[in-house]
Amino acid sequence: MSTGGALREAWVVFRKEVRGLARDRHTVIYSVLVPLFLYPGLVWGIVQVLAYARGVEERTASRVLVVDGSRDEALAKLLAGREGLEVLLGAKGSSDSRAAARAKILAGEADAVLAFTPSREGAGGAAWAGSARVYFNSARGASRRARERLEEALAAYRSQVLLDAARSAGAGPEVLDAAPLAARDLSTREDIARTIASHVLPLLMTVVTALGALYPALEVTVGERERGTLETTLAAPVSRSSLVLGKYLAVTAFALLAFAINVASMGLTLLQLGSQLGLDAPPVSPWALLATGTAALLLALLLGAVMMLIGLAARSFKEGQAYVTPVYVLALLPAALASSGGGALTEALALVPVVNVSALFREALLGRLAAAPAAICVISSAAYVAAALLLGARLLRDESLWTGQGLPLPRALALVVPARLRRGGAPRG
Amino acid sequence: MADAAASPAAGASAAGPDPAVEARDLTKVFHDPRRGPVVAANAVRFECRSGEVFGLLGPNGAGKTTTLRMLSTVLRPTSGTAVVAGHDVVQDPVAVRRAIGYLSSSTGLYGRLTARETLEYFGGLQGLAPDPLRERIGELVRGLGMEDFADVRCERLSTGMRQKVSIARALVHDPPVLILDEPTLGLDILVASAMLRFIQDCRARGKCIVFSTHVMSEVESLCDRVAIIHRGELRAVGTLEDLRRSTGREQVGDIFLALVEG
Repeated sequence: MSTGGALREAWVVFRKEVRGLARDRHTVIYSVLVPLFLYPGLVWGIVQVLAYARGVEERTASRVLVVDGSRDEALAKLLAGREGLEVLLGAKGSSDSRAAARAKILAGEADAVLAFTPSREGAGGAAWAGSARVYFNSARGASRRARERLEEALAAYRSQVLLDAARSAGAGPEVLDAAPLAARDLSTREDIARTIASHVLPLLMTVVTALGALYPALEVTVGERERGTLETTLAAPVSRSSLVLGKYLAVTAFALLAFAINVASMGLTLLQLGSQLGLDAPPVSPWALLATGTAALLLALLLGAVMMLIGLAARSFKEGQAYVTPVYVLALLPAALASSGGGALTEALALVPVVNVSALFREALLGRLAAAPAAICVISSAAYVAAALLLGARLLRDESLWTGQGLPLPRALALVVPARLRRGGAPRG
Repeated sequence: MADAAASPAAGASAAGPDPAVEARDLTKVFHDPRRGPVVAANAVRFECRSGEVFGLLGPNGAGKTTTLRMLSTVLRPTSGTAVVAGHDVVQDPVAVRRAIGYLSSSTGLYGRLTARETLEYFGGLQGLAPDPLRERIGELVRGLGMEDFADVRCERLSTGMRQKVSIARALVHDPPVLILDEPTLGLDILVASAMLRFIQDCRARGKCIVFSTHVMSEVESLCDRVAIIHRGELRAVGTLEDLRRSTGREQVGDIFLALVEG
């Protein structure tokens, strides 16, 4: 058949699949409603809850139990007057301060315990000369916060003691500033916003695109087989390749739709959150737009092809769902890695499916995409997609699958491994 | 095989001169993981001409559906072949698909498409241009009395309405050959009799119809010739009169039992 004829057939199949999928409740939920509302809503909700929790934490004083009475009065006064600290005075001379502190913190009687150990010769000095230890529970936010506040207070106290000592020795406060250390943040608010987006969006893009492809991929393959409509179509004069191509384009279209809706919705959500957090929206260059669009397209093409392949090989819709779920989770792992700031997109990484696209997306968002790895990423992804589609067309030709006989291992190998590499011949069908 | 079917053309009716469907030793072997090779159809051989209704009569699991699926190119024969409207099912399956209307009890309709959209889809796959297709759909909608539900989604249609849509789907490209696999299975008597009238009407218009059934009365009222198939093998082919003569039985059921059990 001519290329034009095959494309015309694929177009007929594509239109029908899109029409059917647009009327499918599950597809509409997962490809439109979830990307539009759920994830932006979740991100917005989580930020609001965290901000509220942070505000409550800021307003709540940390209860600090100070044990051992050998402390000096100046420190006790400083702690008591420090904002955000509620000082609880403990018994003097505790013999096992660590055990006591642990018990008090676990019992919720204190958020942190400050225990003093007097030095052997320190008694009677103007300032306390022993050491202090802070006990806290890192598993509890309130306890962590108490530790931070205590350490800030102790640092201020330590500076004051040193300053007093310097004055007593006739030195000025400048001795404390020997070898001063000053840090200066060179990042702009745009940079921070860009970094946050590069952490959030690659993972979300993978989640949403995979979810957008999942139901359509199963629906147009194993779903159709289960309803008996596949046999009707197979008896029509359409080539298996055109059939697979038309279905595949429809699956990809819905995956891309899910992505586009999510990007728009998430973009608005992040803009709103950015203004709430005092961050500026990063400028998006045409190059970054092109790169992120390409990354989304590649991901939709790749995930759509893999999921459709699974749908073609599955004997029932349930079996298809069972097979697709691990693939979905597997696709999220590299995306999570990329989101957590994993390695840059190198030539080698550009060959690893899904990981390469996530990294491409992140690098594009950060504005540091290199041309060579990007080109390798596009070419390798296109090769994986082509391989998956060819296999899909072969699967559809294999009647044992859609007649419910299943796919025995030798037959599956026959579909994947070229005939010349096997002892037997090519599979029939 | 009984004497009545000594040759594939045995008992040929007064229909068209050249066979529109010719099965030549069609054989299909499935590979069952537990049972090993299963011969679903073994060297099935018959022919059917234009203007003729050819019945494939057999119990469940006899090989009727497998044979018709091979004729419609949905299944590829393990050996043997068939020629449908001048095209070989193995060598040129796409040309065969253009020449047939295939309808079976297991072929479903797309529930989320309307009747009209279904016909547009299959007409499109048959390569019909938009205008002639629209005209043809109009004819079918009027001819089959589908005006009231042509724009209703198939998932909301009754069994009878769905059956009409299936018929229209099989006829949308006006094929010369109809392959009908147990078309009355699961239908109530009104819908089933409408289906039988439809088959008679197609014969009157010169179409070649191969249909399978296990209902004896349908064979008696419809078929110009009949083949008895059991365990994948043809036991006899001929007109009912031929089979009566060869078995010495009068009733179709008795003829069937004599051929299957004998």
